[in-house]
Amino acid sequence: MAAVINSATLDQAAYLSGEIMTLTVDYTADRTITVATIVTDAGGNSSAPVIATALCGDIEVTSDPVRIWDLVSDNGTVATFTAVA
Amino acid sequence: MIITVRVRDATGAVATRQVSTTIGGSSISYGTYDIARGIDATEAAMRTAIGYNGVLNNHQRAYSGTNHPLTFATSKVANAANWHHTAMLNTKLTDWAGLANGAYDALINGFWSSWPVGIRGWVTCNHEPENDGGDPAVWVAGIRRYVALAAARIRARGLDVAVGGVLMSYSWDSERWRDYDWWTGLPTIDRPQTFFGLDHYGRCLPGPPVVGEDMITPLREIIDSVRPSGIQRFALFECGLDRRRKGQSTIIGSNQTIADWLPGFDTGLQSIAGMEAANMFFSGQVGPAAQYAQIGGVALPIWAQIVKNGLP
Repeated sequence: MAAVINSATLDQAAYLSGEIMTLTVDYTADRTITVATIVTDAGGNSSAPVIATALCGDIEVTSDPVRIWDLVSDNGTVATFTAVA
Repeated sequence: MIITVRVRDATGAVATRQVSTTIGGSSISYGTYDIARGIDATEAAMRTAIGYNGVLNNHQRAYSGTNHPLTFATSKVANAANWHHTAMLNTKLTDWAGLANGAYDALINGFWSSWPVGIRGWVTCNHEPENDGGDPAVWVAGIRRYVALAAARIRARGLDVAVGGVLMSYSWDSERWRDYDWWTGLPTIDRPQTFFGLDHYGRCLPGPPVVGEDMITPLREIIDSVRPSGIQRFALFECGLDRRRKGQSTIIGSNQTIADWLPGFDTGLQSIAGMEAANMFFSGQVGPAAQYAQIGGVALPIWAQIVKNGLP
């Protein structure tokens, strides 16, 4: 499934210099990878698979003019960033 | 401002989306600091020059001398709200080690507890440390402690004030600025309340005609090098065009040179994101030996109009 950004919204339409901007990103992206580990000995006996998952891929925000966007939260579908206007 | 969001999934597929916003209200708070005439006489001269009767300077800049005020009411910007819109205060604690070690925490907390809600301002402590001859590492430790204490009070009380360290821009002529790097590693929580300050002077270039040098390009380079720290607010506690020839002591500039240079400097400052305040500094010296241009002659109405344009 391809990554999709459903929406990216700011908490205000405009800002004064120095104000905090909060950006909320609603996205759909399968960022989970599943790893199965199986150990096989010299005799060809294999263990039951051990399944582990990890979060892969990333989400990033840039801006022009340049600001530092700090990731506040990310639950896998909604991420929130803040920066100083 | 154009904001770009990129999401990449586990397969490497990328989605991109842009959103835009406007950052306004960025007119620079201009002030004028004239050692010889003082703020009231300077104001009067500026008003007369353009036939304007209101308060002109956007902020009142003051220097606390060798002592840090105990309260806002006893500070030299205490009447800022009566005569001016905002306050720019340069405080001093000559005991750098004491500041770094917490000896003045109670004083600092008391002062910041007294700053009135609603009075906008910019405050620093021990500006231009390069000129004081102390150990830069101790100064850095001190200003970081000062910023942390002040920023916490600003947040707790909802003040409209920024706190920060102020260096001389000439420290970027060499690698000396690294000794005074107080901004790298600034805690995220303190960034919104913190500004990066500079005292920034330029010189004149020989003609004909004699012109003021480009002070915006080096300023922008310094500021852009600071932005990755997370500080996005900037202020010039002192700025001005020195009438001496660049690299020499011969005075070649005039009030006309200043008048011609001022509009470009204003436009340049306006183009720097996050530039909140700038104070035009006049040395108080008069006559042909003056290093810096006075608020006089053809430069006076030009400067007064620029300041007036920035009124809220």
